[in-house]
Amino acid sequence: MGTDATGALSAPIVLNPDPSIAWGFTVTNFLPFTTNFSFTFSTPLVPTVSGPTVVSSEISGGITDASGNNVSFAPTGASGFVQSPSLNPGAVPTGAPSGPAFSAPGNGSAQTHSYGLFSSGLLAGPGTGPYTQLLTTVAFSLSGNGDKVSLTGNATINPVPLPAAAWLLLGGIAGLGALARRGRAATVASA
Amino acid sequence: MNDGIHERSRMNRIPAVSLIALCSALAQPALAATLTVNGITSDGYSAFVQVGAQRFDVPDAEFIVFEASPGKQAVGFNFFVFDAAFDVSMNGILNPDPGISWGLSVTNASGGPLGLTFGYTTPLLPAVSFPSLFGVSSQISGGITDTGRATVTDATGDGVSLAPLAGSGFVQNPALQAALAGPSTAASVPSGSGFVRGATGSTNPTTYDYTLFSSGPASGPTGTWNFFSTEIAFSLSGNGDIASLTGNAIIGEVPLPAAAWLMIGGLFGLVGVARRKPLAA
Repeated sequence: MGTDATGALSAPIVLNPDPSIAWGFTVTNFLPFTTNFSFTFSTPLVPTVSGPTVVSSEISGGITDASGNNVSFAPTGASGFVQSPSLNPGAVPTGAPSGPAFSAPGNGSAQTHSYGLFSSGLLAGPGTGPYTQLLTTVAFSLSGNGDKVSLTGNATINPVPLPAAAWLLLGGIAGLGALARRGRAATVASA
Repeated sequence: MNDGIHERSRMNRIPAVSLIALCSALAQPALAATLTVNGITSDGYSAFVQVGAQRFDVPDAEFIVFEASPGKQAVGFNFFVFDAAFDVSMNGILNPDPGISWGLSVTNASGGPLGLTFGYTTPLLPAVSFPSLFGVSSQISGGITDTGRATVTDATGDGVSLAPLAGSGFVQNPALQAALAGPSTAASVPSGSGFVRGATGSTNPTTYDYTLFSSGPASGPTGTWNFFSTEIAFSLSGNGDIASLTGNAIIGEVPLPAAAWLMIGGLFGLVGVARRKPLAA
């Protein structure tokens, strides 16, 4: 039923092999001390992603200091950011983490703070794969006494699209080829 | 990175389904937790979520005593509802100190907008009277994600919207009651505006900041109040859009502005001067 005497959380998510992950959750830390939480979401990459890629991640939400003493929220992952997307096989970090630490002193009563929006921006992905699975881990420590975070975010990976200029160039080359063929055919006919 | 907490969240999902079945089978009226601490029994802790026409009350057993002091306690709870069309989590702390601190996360997996109302009620121990030095305030903040799909297979961004359902035009609406069964009176410190973002045309989800909205502190409605509640009511666009919100509704002392302290200091100074003059004469 989702009640736990220490931590309280849930994680509604959308996993879509397009390929991206959109997620949201709420956590309350009922313990009187700081506790670590980690959420991992993963989706298969269908079809697999290979070649140069563009990766990104975003995170946004609200942080509530329930008892007015203070609230602190800090990444626990190796990336130094709250959200750390990665790729399988090999658990390769995408290199596009998002979400810094946040803390605020208390003012004696419940207080809500805005967190984000933090975006990694669109970055070049790691290696050329092929990759079969996209994962994103949202890992953090949260201060206790009822402090609460509600976060939503996403992680994406996409093959680098061919730029419009490349299509122009390809079209031009094809056109030249056709002209050359016509020219040759006309020469043969007149001979 | 699957630690114990993640595992626990997976386990929590299973009984939630049977809980829903139980709730709908019994079609119970609104439940209100009754808690006894230090020999004093208090009523009126309650919370519910309404999704479309379905109402899910948080059962008494969900409430845990989070902080107890003589005569009163703060309770915490955590509640989940899962369905093919939506995924809801809510939690909160109901503190008769008096304050409500809440969090919620909704994914609307249905094809259209979904109306949602989250309600939280706490007793006020002791009762609060207005007008007084106390004031009411509310805050709301969070993030909203557009999964960027008009349908599951269509890879075209369809936009996202979160619109208040209440007549106030705001998402969060705190209210006060003299008696649990009695009428509730708006505390007039609603918070949280509607939020709309257009189609991105992107195959990727887009997350937006639903920035902090604050209201008050302002004086509450005249009268003596025994129960304090807040409702977060909105419709959320479909096709997988997600809203994760957190906030609070509290009654606290209205802080005196710095200028008032200056003035009070000045008045005391004047009184001092006035007292000294006759002595000197």
